[in-house]
Amino acid sequence: MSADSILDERFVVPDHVVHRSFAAETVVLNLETGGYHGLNEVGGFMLGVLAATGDPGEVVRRVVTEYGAPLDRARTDVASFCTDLLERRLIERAKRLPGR
Amino acid sequence: MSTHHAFGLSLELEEGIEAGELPEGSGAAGPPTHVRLAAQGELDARWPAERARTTREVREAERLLLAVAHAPDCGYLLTIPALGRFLISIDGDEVACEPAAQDWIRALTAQALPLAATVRGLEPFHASAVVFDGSALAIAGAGGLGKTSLAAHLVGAGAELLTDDVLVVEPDEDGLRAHPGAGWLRLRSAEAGRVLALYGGRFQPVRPGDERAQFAVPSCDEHAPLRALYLLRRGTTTPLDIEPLEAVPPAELLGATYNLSVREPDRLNRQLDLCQRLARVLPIFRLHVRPGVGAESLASRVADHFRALTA
Repeated sequence: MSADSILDERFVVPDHVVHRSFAAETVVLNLETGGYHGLNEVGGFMLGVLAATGDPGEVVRRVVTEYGAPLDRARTDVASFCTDLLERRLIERAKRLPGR
Repeated sequence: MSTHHAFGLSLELEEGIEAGELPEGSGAAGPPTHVRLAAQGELDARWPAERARTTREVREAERLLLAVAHAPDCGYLLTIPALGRFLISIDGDEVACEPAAQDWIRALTAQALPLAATVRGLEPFHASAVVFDGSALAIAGAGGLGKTSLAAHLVGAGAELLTDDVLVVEPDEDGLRAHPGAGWLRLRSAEAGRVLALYGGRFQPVRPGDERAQFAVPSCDEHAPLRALYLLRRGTTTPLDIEPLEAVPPAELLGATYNLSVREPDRLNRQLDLCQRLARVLPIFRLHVRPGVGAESLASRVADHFRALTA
């Protein structure tokens, strides 16, 4: 899957995944498996934006704005981040509404 | 029937169950948990083994030390072969005990009741706690680092024991509430000799033991506001004994929780919430256990540090 294609998709954080922010880390917990995952500050920021908007493109824009990251680098990092979360079943592809 | 409370539970103990280390009276909110002796063969008759799933096992070599199994329609079965079995009902309102040794109460207070507390929605940590002037401090860290010895010397320095080894923490409107647990200390013989020599009358021998002797000590029977957490760590070269932790590793807080047997989603969520709250509202300190610094000396520094913190 190319970075462009995953950045065009929409995602949701499923109900069985919760995340809590700590001072220097975000903990993501899969309630179905009991597995914990740790994210650094930037990862926690990206997950927060993704959970709120479902839009990886918006995550890219916010990473560029908040952290001053070059656009190409931000696109690569966010695509890799989403792929990783998908593989760990911590996010799911959003179901499209009928007719959209 | 006698009424006690511990680990945030209100307890009704059937006649014949002697648990002198548990605070008397109904000092906890919520409906009571009934603790009774099981009838002969009752646990085997009630336990649906075919539908149960083992959630935790602790072994030493091949020997089973502790096992917990969960059956969603029945509850949790705790098995400690050396001491007995305990069936904790599905909502934690009953503990049916099948003792296997004279000292079985130890398993009730150290394992079965904390498990019942977890089932009832409370959160136990692997920590000891003492109270100075109405405020509680907790000590957590890996086994063998000296939580109990430190608690003993803090009691020697004037604190009241709130709990040893298992601490239930509950959020409340003012912050965090620390609940009393068993009010006795179990000390290895060498440490027992030291505290008796140092603090005399504050330690009353209750039960001798081959490995550990049990002592009644001045204790706090009511919940107290939790004002600080000290996380023990061994063998560092830092010159400081006590350092504030601005960014507490969440894995360390999660690792300090006590009960690994209950893995239901509600509990995992609650546990994570509470760890986040601890990290946000509680002053947390690294307490370095360095070679050559004994528990007595460390306790004195902790007592001074905590008194200054809460003054």
